[in-house]
Amino acid sequence: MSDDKVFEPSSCSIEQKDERPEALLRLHNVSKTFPGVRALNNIDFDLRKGEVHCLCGENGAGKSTLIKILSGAYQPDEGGEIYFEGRNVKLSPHIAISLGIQTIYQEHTAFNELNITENIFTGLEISNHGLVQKKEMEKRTAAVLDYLQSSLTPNMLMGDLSSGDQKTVEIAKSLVLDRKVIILDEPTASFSVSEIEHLLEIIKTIKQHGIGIIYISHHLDEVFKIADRVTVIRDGQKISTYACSDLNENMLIKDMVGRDASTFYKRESVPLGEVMYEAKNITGNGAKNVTFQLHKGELLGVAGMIGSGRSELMSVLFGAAPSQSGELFIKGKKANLRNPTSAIKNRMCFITEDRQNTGLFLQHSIARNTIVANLVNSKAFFMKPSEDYKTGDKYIKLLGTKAKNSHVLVVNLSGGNQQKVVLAKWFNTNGEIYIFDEPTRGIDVGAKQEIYQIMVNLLKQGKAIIMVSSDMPEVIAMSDRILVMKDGEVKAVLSKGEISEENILIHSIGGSKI
Amino acid sequence: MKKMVRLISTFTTLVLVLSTLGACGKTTTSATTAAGNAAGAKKQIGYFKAAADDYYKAGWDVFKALADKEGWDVQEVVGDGTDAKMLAAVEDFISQKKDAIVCVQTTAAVGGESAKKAKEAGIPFYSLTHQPQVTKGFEPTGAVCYNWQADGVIAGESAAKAGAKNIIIIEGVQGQGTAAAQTVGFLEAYKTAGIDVKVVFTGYGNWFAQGGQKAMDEAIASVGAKGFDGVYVHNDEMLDGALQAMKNAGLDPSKFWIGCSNGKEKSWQWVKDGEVSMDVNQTPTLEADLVYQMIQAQFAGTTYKHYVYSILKPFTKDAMENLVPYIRDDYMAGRAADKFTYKLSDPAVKEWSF
Amino acid sequence: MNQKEVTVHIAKEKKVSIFKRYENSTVTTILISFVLLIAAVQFVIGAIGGNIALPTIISPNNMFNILMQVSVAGLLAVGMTLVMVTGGIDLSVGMLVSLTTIFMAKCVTDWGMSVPLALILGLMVSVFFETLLGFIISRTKVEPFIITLGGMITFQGIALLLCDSREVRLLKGEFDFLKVNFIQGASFNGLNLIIPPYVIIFIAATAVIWALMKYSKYGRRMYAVGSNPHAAFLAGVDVKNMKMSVYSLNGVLVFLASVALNSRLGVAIISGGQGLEIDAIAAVVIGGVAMSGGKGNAWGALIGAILLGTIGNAMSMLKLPGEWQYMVKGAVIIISVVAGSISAMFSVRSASKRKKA
Repeated sequence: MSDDKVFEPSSCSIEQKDERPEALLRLHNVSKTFPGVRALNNIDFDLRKGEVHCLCGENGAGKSTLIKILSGAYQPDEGGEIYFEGRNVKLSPHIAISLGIQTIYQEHTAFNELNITENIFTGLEISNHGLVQKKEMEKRTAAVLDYLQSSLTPNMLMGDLSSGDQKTVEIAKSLVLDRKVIILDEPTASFSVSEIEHLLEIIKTIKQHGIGIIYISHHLDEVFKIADRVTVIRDGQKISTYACSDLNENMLIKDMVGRDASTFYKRESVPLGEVMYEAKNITGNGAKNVTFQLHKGELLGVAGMIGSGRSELMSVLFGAAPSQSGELFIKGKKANLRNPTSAIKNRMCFITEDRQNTGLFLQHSIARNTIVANLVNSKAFFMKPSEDYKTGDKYIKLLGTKAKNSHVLVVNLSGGNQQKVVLAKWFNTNGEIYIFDEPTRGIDVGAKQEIYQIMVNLLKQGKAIIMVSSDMPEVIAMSDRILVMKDGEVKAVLSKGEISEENILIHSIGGSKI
Repeated sequence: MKKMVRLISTFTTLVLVLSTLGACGKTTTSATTAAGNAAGAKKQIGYFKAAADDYYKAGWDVFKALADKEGWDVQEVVGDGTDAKMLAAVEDFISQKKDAIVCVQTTAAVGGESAKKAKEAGIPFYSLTHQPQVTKGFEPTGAVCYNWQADGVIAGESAAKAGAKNIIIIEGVQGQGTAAAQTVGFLEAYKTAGIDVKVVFTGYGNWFAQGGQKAMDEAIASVGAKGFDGVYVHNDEMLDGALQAMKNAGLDPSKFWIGCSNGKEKSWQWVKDGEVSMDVNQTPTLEADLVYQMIQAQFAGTTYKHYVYSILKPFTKDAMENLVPYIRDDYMAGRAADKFTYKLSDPAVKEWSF
Repeated sequence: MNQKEVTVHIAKEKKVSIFKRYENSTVTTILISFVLLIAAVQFVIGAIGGNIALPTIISPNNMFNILMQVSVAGLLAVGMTLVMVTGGIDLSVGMLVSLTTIFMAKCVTDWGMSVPLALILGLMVSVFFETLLGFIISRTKVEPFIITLGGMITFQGIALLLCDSREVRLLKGEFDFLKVNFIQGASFNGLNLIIPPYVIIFIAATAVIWALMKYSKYGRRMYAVGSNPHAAFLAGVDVKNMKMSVYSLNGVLVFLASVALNSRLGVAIISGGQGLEIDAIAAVVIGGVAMSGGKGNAWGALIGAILLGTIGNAMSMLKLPGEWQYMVKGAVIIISVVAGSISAMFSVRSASKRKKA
């Protein structure tokens, strides 16, 4: 901090073409393919010194893949090139760090038991002949924190700090260790208003040191406040790059959106009946004041960006997490769902987001998995294993699960078939109200269609479905109405006529509380 | 999966068998018969020791040496201090139809139970070192032990004569029958002599030096250096620790009356040096010799004393001849040279009954 | 060597012909092969010495002996199966047996109660303490290992207090009723054959617990909780109370083991239960119960207990130094656990191969 760095004011000039020699970091023709899916397609992207370059896109657009390539965790496909300060480089996490590229992920990897100085210097301690120079490290840390006008001191414990302060420390780290590039992935998730303000201030400060910052966020107001340039990606491709002076919200959203609706799944419509499930002012587990009604034969979609609190809300609706206030009604009667057992007794089913960890007993047979949820409803104390197998076989046939018989262990099945076992488990309880959380995640296209058909069949039988999905085509194709969530609240309830990618996106991103 | 199971079964069984046989080199006999007992075949003896204890080991060494000379095949089983292991060992001996069983028991009750089982199976059973609690009609065939109370009396007489009036007593384990008898005998000697005595501290050293030292440390801390004039420790190992404790506290052992029981070789040096006033030579080696002679007589069909006390030999600095060794080779040499009494038939070996 | 071929041959035969889809096939195969092999070795050695006789390891007297010798640890193993299948563990059972045996012995000797009353109180004692442990384990996030370790030490203290650090002799044979010989008078080759009630209780308890785990709603919930507690919770299983209840059930088995021990030894002493928790866990692990939960059954535990007892017995029959049995037992435990994880690895690998296809 003793050196006075010459800084360039952030430029606001319009430019579309790349090939600037002073680009700090440049991606050329970068693609990334995984088995069965092309996550990134011929991306060109560059970052200048002292610039804040924001990256925007929907869920699944490819942002996290891009970050992983920039941090060295993934390698681009053949033909893709990365240039750092003009040199062609091949990145690995180690090389990236040694070049000075620091990635600050959403999830924390801080050492909660150590203090700020230790967190900054772990692995890179200043030492003199093997003896760690504690005073020197503290001095530098204090200087940086001071410079950032932070009230933090070098000896504070990381675990005691708020998320905002912890992010500040991460950024301070980049200054102390003389980083050149900082990548921030959704940094303001669960930040308070003042914390967001503070972070933006800090970013403005450090960019004056020539540090290039890539800022990924779907909070458009933050983006507008801080960006020098904004790049939009969609379906793994770069759609456009704007200079800050050219930004407006509509253009951004239009770029993020834009799928051909004719390729979406077409489902048959089902007539709606009476109200089966109702939530009134439900608050708890991150959800705030959620109110909605669910009708017989209806599929209510729940859309929103990652972190909007959808799965957390589902847990409350199912009784797996406690609600602080508000009421739930099933078929008009007030329901007290204290735990999943009471939810199941009320004919509810919950197909969770992470089937392997929360939906299946991997080391057990299909049969065992199938019968477990219905134990709540069965009156008998004694049961025969042969009956279990019969039940398991029944659902294998019904759902078309690809398994020899119900003795097969679930761990041996593919993703789609595993999901069918989860479905079998819930169908076996004869439920009426189904909550699906990301029903086709990790499932190939063919199996997806089968699951959609199964869901429609449920509706035809007079059941009701709430479906959380981050897959735009899916939520648009399947839903009768859509709840759009943001920061734990329901921002909009879109009726059939109002459903469009744009509408969903408008309500799920955009202004945070600034 | 089936292949896996087969593989695992084969491998595990192999390991089990190979390691079970792996100790083959250790066994002394190569042609052991599985069901024994054929006429002219070697006599099979089962020898169980309650735990891995030096005392029991010393006896075993002598018994083995004598048995080898006789041509007996002795199977040694060392327990872990639990009754379950002892009972299992005896049951196994019975299954193998041993010709005789020697048992250093873990507890009196289960020792008696073992004797009963052996009797029911018609196998001669000998209790060694500790007396079992018997059911009438199911007494062991023979038993050798020491008269612990008499042991205590000897020490008490010595202490009374030396004029010690405030005694620290360090026992083995609280509540263990054998030890209590020693203390009873010790106090009885004073009563018989009509002299008053005060036990200023009772400690428990768990039979080992470390425990003895700790108990003595506590005793000294509790009564003070001037608070006692005599120390009675129930075995040599604990005495070792107790002497150390005294020296650490700056006390000179030779200025106190110190008595003990065991009479191991290391104690001979202490007594000679005057650090310890008296000890009682009560060796496991002699015990084992006596039980060997019992079994010998049993096989020969001759009469012999069945329940005996082994010989207690107190010694002081001035009376230290012909002590019985703990070390096997010394014992065997001394035995061969008739240096000490060892014959079962000798009148010094007193009988008792249940 | 001749033995190797014999081993493989027998193992193969047994596996294919008798045990098709039997969950305990591994451990049963090992037990039977082991016994037959040792018998063969004994027979051969005897034949060399000119003595053709029935190898003692498979003499009826010896086999009944083994059953008697493993019953106490075996009952604890059955209880441990319940606990471990739900993902828990219980290190306190050994000392709880010491405590319960001492307590019941005190009841009939010093406190002048009748035997039936002592039994009822003994049952209450062991179930109470186990439930207490289960309550703490199910309501806190602390590892069962630590809680039951604390329990073990506490129970030891209580037991020592009760008996004042000395043994409690059942001089009047109050517990002998469990030792009577059901087949009194039966003998083979001059040796009495004994089947006492406590062996029957051991086998019966195994059968009951096995049936509970296989044929009841409760049993299915147990496996679910052991396999994936979170998924079980979401599927409507009361995970907290399930975890507590298996400890309570374990208490019943600890009681049965204590009664068996009192009758077998005729004396209640602090060292009576010493080390039994290790025997129980070893038996259960060898019998195929995974330490992580969700797998295994009571018969496996029974066979595991018998196998462990047979190892020591075989050493004795072959007149080998008993010290080796510790190493052998340790080796068997390690192999069983490793084998379990290897076969898990295999199934995951073949599953991912399938996924790629």
